[in-house]
Amino acid sequence: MIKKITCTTCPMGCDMLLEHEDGKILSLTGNRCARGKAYAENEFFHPARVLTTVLYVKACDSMLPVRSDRPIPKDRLFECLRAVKGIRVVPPVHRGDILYAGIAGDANIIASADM
Amino acid sequence: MGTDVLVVGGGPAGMAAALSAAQSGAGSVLIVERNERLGGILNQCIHNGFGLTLFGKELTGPEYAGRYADQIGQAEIPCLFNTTVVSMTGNKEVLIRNTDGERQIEAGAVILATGCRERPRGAISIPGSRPAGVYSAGTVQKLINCCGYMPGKRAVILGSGDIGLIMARRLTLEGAHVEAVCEIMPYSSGLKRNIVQCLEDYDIPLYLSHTVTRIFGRERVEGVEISGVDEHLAPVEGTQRFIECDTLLLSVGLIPENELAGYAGIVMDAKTGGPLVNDRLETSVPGIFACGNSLHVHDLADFASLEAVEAGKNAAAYVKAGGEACQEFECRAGNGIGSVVPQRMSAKALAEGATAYIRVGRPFENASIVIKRGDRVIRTVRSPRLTPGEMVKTVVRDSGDGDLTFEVDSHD
Repeated sequence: MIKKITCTTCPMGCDMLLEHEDGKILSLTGNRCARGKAYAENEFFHPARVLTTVLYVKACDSMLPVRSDRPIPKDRLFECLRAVKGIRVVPPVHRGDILYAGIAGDANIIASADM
Repeated sequence: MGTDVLVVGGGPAGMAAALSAAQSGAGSVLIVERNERLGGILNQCIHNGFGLTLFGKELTGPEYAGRYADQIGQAEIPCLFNTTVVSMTGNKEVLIRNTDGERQIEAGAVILATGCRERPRGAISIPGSRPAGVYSAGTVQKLINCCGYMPGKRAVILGSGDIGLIMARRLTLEGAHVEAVCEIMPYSSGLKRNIVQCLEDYDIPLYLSHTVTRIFGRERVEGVEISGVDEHLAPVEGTQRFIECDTLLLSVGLIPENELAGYAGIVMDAKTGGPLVNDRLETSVPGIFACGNSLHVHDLADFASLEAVEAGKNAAAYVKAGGEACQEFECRAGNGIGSVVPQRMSAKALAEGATAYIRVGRPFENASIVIKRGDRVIRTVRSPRLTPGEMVKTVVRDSGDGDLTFEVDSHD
């Protein structure tokens, strides 16, 4: 099978074609450098994204931006989002404070701003 | 009341400019910010991807703003919040207004860091009624991220600029369904990273060479008609398709915010929408500088801040030593080039090496940006890929004579 992967490592944005079978990479074409290869392998085996969202803080009647402190596996983003939305924030909160420890393994949800 | 350097706007450019001016020896620096806190648009950009260049880390907008705001606090730079600059003269008399009333500030130098605005619906002609549910992408960003309101359940986004792409993901994560992103051009002006992480990750279709040709609904948007466009960007008959939706987001470009520049009689550049500046980022009015998105729209906040650092240094130098008269040469946008900033470079700056920010007019593959003085080529920047969405920064060094012309030499 062929998977199309666009490298986002640099502005070049190489369009790569990754040929795979039974979870193994057979070949990769279209990358212009070694970073593209590393990116494609990572995107194929462990695609992950930083999760960002906002939480309503009742005490301040305003929204607190939050994020995961490391990338979360892509297929678990929505599941994590549901857990994050359940966080009850009690101010004061400072930028970088952990609001939820150990989400999707060893990631934490941290505050993006002071409140 | 007076100040050495007055910075209008406390976003990524204004904060960087103020810090830089203070660090470069300006006696007094003042930031005037219309919001209640520093950060500007960064505060509503809760996604990550900021700070890679400046902080070596992937931060969210509020984090990037917070780091700068901390430095402003440590440097004890005063900020006037909830304050608007009402007008400004060429003599750098700045009229401000807040709840305490109106006050005039005499500034030694002014740095315009007022950012930009979104092009509104009126700037593109979409026939149809005026139902609720048509928003600019940045407005939706503010509604969701700062106010906690969801503007709709099913959305179509017109324009694939970065804010449109970012909002496709935000809407999806917050529970709405994004039916499609339409882009009138045959290419997206957004960053590749955003196409991948905001659209492809969530299987949101991107229709290139498509536009919205009609909006349906009386009280509320009920759907839109999209059409394919030809090479002249005109809708092609027979390609119309109806998409049911309750919300239409417009991400159709940004316009530098420059009302104040107009009051002061500053000469503008029709190509960038910002003031015409020299290599010191000084406008046609001595002592008034411009940087960030009010000068020209940048791809990344980091780049706006980096440019503002230069404006801050130069404003401080102007206050200390006054302006220096120097022979200047014009930087002309030639074939294939969308815009060049600065529009003028001094002989002295050119001899030392002056930075030029170049945007191409359309995408090119395996092309070069060629900088010439007359027929003499002084610099060639080769690139496998040039797109209007990615600004090219290069240093021009030459001790010759004559105006500069920037051109694209496409090998195809």
